Amino acid sequence: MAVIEAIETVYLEADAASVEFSSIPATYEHLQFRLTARSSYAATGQATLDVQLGTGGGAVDTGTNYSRHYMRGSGTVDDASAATGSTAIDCMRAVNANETSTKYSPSIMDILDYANANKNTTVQATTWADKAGSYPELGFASGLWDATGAVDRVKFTLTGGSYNFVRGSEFTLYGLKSS
Amino acid sequence: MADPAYIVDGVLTDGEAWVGLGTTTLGVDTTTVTFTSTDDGQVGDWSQYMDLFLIIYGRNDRADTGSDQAMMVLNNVSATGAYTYQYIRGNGSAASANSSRGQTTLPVGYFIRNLETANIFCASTIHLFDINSGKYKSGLVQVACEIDDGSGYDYAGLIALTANSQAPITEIDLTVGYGDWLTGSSFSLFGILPRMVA
Repeated sequence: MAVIEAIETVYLEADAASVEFSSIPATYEHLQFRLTARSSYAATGQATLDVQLGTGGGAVDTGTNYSRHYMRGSGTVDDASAATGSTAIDCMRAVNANETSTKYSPSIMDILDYANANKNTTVQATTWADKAGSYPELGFASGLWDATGAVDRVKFTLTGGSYNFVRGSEFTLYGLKSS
Repeated sequence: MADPAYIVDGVLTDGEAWVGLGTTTLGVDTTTVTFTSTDDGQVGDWSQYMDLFLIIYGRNDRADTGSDQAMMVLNNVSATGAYTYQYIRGNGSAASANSSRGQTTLPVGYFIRNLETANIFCASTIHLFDINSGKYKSGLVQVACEIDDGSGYDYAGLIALTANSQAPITEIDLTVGYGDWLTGSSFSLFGILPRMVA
């Protein structure tokens, strides 16, 4: 039995408002997403890459049940922020459409003990948006879904669904087992 | 070399997604550590992997105290403007951040010099993403350099990387800013496969 298995890879052949992984099997101990994403957002700054979780075969939870802490380096600035009562975990970034077309933002997000129905779900993420027009942004985050359901669905959007993931964005979900 | 493990009796399967591509442990002080794709369709051929993951556990042979930055070059490209980085780090008394464009190399961590306490090695873990795509290549690095002398040269941090090139990654070269990698430094490379069977 493999320790780390690739469960699903999504490669966008066309722009998409969201990317969703459903029917995630409960047979692993932890999940890891590895992705490279680009946003259609073309104004100042960059889009947040948001995460929503679901359980029980239903849709993802869109209620105000998420929180997160975020630290970043942006040029010479280092700072931190937090949010509670959010409708998603905005824990990653996707490079802006004004940037060179071949730039995509890499991110890694871990979802720990995701199949345990007795624990609220914690995630951790690291992300990088290389923005030349102003400072780039390197961030790392913790996030919480304030629900105990076993996670079987994960949805990614950009700034609450306001923008599209650009063609070529790629997401792979891995399952981690220790035995 | 052998066929990749995901080819079983000629059939494509999804097995272990992380594939060990080799570990180098230095028997002598070494200026540059190099990993190269075998480009032969077998396990060591990087063209089959989505991402690469590299672990450095190293020490610098420079006869001084403190630490030095380590550098990475991809595909032997060290032209001005080839690379961009952003870091955030803490040195025990302060957090700081910085970024730079127009670089000729990529910073990938800090490694203890050889007049510091013996047997301390520093670590960096380096993720390189979508290495065979037409995207500019990008990376995330986690840094752990714990000297334990209060010098301010120890760091915990993250570094983000961009290589301004669409070329697939086929070679990685690793150096320290001054001096050589010390004997005993180790370097492990893994290939990370995508899901291959629908």
